[in-house]
Amino acid sequence: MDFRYTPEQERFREQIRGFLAEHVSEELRHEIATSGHSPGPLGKQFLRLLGERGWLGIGWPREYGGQGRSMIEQTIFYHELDLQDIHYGNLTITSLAMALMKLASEEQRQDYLPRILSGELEICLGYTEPGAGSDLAGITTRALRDGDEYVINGQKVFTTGAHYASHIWLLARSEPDAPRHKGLSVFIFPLATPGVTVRPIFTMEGIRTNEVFLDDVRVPAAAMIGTPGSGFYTAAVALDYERVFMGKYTKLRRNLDALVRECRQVVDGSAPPIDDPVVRDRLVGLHLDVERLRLLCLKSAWMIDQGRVPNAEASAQKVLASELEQRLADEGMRILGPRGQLEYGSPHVPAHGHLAQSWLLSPMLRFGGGANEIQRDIIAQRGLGLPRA
Amino acid sequence: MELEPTAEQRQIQDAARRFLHAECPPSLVRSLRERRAPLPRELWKRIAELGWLGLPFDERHGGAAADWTTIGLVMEELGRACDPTPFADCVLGCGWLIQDLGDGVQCRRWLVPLIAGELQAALAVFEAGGDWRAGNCVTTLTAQASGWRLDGRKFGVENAGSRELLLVSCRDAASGRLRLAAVSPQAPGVQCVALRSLAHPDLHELRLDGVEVTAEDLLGGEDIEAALDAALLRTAAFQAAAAAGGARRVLELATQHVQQRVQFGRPIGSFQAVQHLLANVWTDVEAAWLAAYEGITELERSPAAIDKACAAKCIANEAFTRACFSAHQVFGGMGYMWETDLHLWTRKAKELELGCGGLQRHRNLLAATLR
Repeated sequence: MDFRYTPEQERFREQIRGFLAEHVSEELRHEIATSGHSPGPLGKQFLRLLGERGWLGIGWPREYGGQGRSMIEQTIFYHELDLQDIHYGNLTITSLAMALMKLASEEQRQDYLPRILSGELEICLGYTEPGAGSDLAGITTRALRDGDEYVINGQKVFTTGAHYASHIWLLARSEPDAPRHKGLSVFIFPLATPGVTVRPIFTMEGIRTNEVFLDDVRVPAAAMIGTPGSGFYTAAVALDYERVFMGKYTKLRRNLDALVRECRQVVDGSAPPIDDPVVRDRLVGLHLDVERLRLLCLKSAWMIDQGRVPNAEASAQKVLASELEQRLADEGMRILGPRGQLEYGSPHVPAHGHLAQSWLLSPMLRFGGGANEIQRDIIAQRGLGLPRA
Repeated sequence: MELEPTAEQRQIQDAARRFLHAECPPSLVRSLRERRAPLPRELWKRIAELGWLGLPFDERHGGAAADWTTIGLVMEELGRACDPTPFADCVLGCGWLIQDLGDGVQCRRWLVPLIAGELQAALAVFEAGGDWRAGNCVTTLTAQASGWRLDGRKFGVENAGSRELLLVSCRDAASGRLRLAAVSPQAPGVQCVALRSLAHPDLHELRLDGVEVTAEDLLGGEDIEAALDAALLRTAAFQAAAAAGGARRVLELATQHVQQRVQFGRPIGSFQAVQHLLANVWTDVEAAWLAAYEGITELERSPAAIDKACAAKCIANEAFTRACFSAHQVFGGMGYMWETDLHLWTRKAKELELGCGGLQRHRNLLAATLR
């Protein structure tokens, strides 16, 4: 057994590091730290550059303009971005496009994929509704067939990115007479379609997300991905790709390393926190959990490269990552004392405010992308073979 | 990167599992514990015939010079079987130290019969006070008219009374440096006092009063303290594989139980509260297994991989103990009775955790590596 990256993978990492060292400026970092989770002007410029260099489609097959790289190489790439504080969660590329390649028609692939890769097309996710969260099959937004079109009516909520995305990936009930799980379909269409209204709502982090209202929205039948009634499966495939990337460990490694560095600092001549054995032991506990997460991440990526599908593994990774992010932020702020509450840009802020930002984000991580309760159901049922509850 | 053993390594592991399943069932583990007895020598000889006792050692001593993953896989199977053998202490601890520090004569005298299953050794490095490092040693080696005399107390020596050889760390009264002396438990002045442990069934304090030691009984080496600390860390890394194996076995037992046990008219494994408890154990066990083999393979590459070896021990030991506690929760009364088997693993989990100086010592070692 060998837990190390191969020499080629290490060279690849060096290549990315070199690229990032050249192109990630302090201004870009500042923009990312202050612009919520959506790219600002510098971020967009940087993403275009990634596109030109072929980095965006790093995990896509070559036939769709990607680099066809292994999952291990993709994780190296995204981890290096994370270490440089660049974490645009680009689900369009890492999750939706992968689901398109697997489930869309050839015509749809030719239509969407090149535009995704060039950055022209950015897609937001329209799953959650006021009455349907974890119980995704309970959605009530309807898509009724009318000749060559579908007419969509309903409401989506927590639609992150709907105010800057070009398109929406929408789950709607198209077969009203079919059983719950069999009556859903996925559609992709422009948010500029008449009848779509996007309204802002703000999270406790202070970041914008949206409500999306759909009133007699007419989309061509060709906007449907897969066959009528296959939407629940399509969403599940996309969520599988999403979870692998949600459970990344690098941001947590970066946060912990920043915390340790902060604990070594002598402020105004006082003893550094790391001299306190209680603090040291807490840091060890957090380090061990980041290591556990790193190992699970490696395992999932390695499995994908072996042609296997991480199910329980990906769920375990998501659960551990989200709960650890919360604990690391919470304990870290406690270790830092009253300075721990300070946010990015404040005088006296420790570790760039990473922990404070993470603390505000962390409740969402535990319920978002499939609540951890659902993930634990998956682990118990797919990992251990226990019966459905 | 390769996160699974090779087919050949898997074969060795499967063979070990079959052997232990047939020859080392929980009933044997239980009976040894109840009688506070060491493993029957006849079984140890058969393990020697399988070649396990020579796995880590050079071919010139009759060993197999196996890769460390293979040794880890055997340890994993021993942990799965709730290991009642002296393998970790005698082979990985003492045998390896003899190879590391002994001269040719000493290796022929002790290591060759150890590999053959004819000589069992126990490591006596810890003392009851202090911080559980090899350097915490007040047992004294004093030069006398001919040879030396050994005086002191050693804590937590496994099966001390029944082994042929005890490797005792001691401080040279003249130089202040650590030495390692080979002593017979039958030598005049050696007294084995039984300790009552909830974890290890046959643990002793060694009382040494004027025990005579000759030059031939002293192992060489420039820095015995560093060699002992390195040996303890090496054993700890392999014991992490045993802990991962034990934890996985306990999870299997718990999973089987919740599928069979019916309450409120359905298997308790269909309740979400039970599923989530075991889902956490599943995650712990996956991480523990990976951490154990990362620790083992990184230490095989370089003795500097202290962080990975310590992480292996901490992660795997915590996983094993938590797995046992969660298993007790789903077994309820059926896992708490003396006649049921679960508590054999629960005790083993604590034994492994407190082994090699204990979990906290390894957390402290790890703290020193944080950057």
